[in-house]
Amino acid sequence: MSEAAIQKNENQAPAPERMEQTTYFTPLVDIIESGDAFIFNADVPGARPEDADISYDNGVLTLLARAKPRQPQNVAYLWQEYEVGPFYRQFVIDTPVDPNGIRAELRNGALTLTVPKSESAKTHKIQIKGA
Amino acid sequence: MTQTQTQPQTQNRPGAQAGGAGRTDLSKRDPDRGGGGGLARPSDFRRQIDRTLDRLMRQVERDPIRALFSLPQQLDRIANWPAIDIAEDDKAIAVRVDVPGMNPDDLDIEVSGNQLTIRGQRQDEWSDNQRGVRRRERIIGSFARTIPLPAEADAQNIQARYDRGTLTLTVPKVPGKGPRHVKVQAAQGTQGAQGTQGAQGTSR
Repeated sequence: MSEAAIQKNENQAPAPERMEQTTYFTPLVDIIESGDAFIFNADVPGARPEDADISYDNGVLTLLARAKPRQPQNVAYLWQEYEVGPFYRQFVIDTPVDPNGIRAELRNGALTLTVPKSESAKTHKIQIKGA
Repeated sequence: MTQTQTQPQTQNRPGAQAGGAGRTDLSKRDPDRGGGGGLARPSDFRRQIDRTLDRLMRQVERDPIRALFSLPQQLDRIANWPAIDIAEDDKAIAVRVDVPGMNPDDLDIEVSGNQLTIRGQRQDEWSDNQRGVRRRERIIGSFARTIPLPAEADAQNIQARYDRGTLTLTVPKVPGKGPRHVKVQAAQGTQGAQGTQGAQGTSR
């Protein structure tokens, strides 16, 4: 996946927040590419595994995780930094990947996605014969 | 970046804060913290600024206006990392901190006098310029945030729990140790005469 591919996705990022009147938050994400997979690490504090909805459709990887509010409702706040809401982000992956092999793990509010590349896109070592 | 500069973006509620007597200034900074903000080491802070500017430059190419307006929020996210909410009821004060992906053993909570300090270190094995690293946005490094506790806080019985990436501290309140109000007695004969007395005072 090239840098251009990542940018392309953010260009065409849809705006579901306007339709649903909900504010979505962009999770901070680390992306690491290895020879045979992409690894996405996203911070989604407050979300449980059952709150997360990960999908891959035609080259677009969508992360959605609903987070529970940090404080119970109707409490008296002394101090508040940032609101809590669903996390949402999409990435376009232009490298062929294996959708059935995508694994997601959500532990302590940190989401780890492993997206294996399809066989054709994996790095292949070429054996060189000596003379 | 100081706390006052960041307040408009962070949904702080100074009104609620000022509502009760004995509430201390929650924006008070940890004196041994460098760099500014929650990241304890200037190098961590610097790295995060670099990452944010990287991200900003990508956004500028797509949508400069939106990128520009998002900058304060993005910087705020670093300056106030990790994000803290504080709420209270009659019995306790609840402090909640978003520190995802950590091991509870890496969190250190210290009470000294009326200062509650949350420290921690978030690590991961990938460095920014390592081969294969495509994006680095998450905030890592050591951080410290200090919260002043009110007089009625029972510092001996603070409970801490880490769940779903959120650290919850419950600080019980000791009944009767809250702010006391002292009634002001009016001195005899001064009522209604303050205005003239004040005028006399300045003319002397």
